Amino acid sequence: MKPNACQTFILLVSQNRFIMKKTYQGFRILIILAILSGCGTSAAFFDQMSYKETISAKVEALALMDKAVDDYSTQEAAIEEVNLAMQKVYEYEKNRENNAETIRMWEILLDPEKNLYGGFIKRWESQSKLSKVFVDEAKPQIEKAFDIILGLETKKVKPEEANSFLNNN
Amino acid sequence: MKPDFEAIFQDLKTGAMDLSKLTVKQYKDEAQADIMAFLKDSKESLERWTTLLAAGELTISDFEWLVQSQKDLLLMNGLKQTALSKIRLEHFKTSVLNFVVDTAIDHVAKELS
Repeated sequence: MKPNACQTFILLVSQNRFIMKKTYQGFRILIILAILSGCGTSAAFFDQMSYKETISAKVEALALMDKAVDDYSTQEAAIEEVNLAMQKVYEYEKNRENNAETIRMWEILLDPEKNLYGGFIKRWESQSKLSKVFVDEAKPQIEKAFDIILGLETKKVKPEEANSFLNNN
Repeated sequence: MKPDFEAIFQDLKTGAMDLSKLTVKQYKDEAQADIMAFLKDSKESLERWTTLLAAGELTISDFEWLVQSQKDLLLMNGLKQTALSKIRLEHFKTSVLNFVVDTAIDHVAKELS
C-alpha cells in the first residue's frame, strides 16, 4: 500500500538518526506542527468571553421576561437594553472561526418569526401584555435555548488542552 | 538500518481502528442520552401545557406558541449534535496524531537501540 503524505513525512524524518539523537524533543514538535498545519481544524475553541457574555445575556433576558405581564410600552427602554446586549453577543459569535452552529443557534434564539426570545418579544409587543401563566411556561423554553448554547460552548476544546497537547509532545 | 515501515503501519492501523471505535461509541452514547433527555422534557412540557389549555389558563394561541418553541429547541439540539460531532472529530484527530507520533518514535527508537 502506498503511504500517504503524513506517513511518508514521518518515515523520512524517522530515517534521519542524527536529528533523532540531537534534537529528539524538537523532532517530535516538528512532526506535530507539520501534521497539524496540514490537517486544519473544524471546530471552534472554547471562548471564556463568549461563555461569560452568554450567561449575562441569559440572566438579563429571563429577568426581562418577568416584566411581560406589564404593558410593553412601559418597558420599552428595558427591552431595548436587553436586545442590544443580545445583539452584541450575536455579533461576537459571528466573528469567531468555525462557529457556524453557535451562530445559527443565536439566529434562531433572536428570530422574531420563531418562538424563542425574539418571538417572545414580538408576541409581547403585539399583545401589549402577556399572562403570567404563559410567561412562566415560556421562560423555561428560553432558558433551555441558552443552556443548549452554553452546553455546546463548554464542550469545545479548551485552548489550554491544545497547549497541553503540544507541551506533552 | 531502515525502520520497518510495514510494522509501523500495522501498529498505526490497529491503533487508529481502536481509537475510532471508542470515539464513535462515546459520541453515540452521549448523543442518545441527550436525545432521550430532550424527549422526556418534551413529554412533560406537552402534558403540562395540555392540562393548562384544558383548564383555560393558556389560550390556544399560547399553547401553539409553546409547542412551536419546543420545535425550535429541537432544531437547536440538532445543531448542538452537529457541532459536537465536529468537536469529537477534532479530539479524534488529536488522539490519532498523538498515536502516530508515538508509534513512529517507538519504532525508530527500537531501531536505534
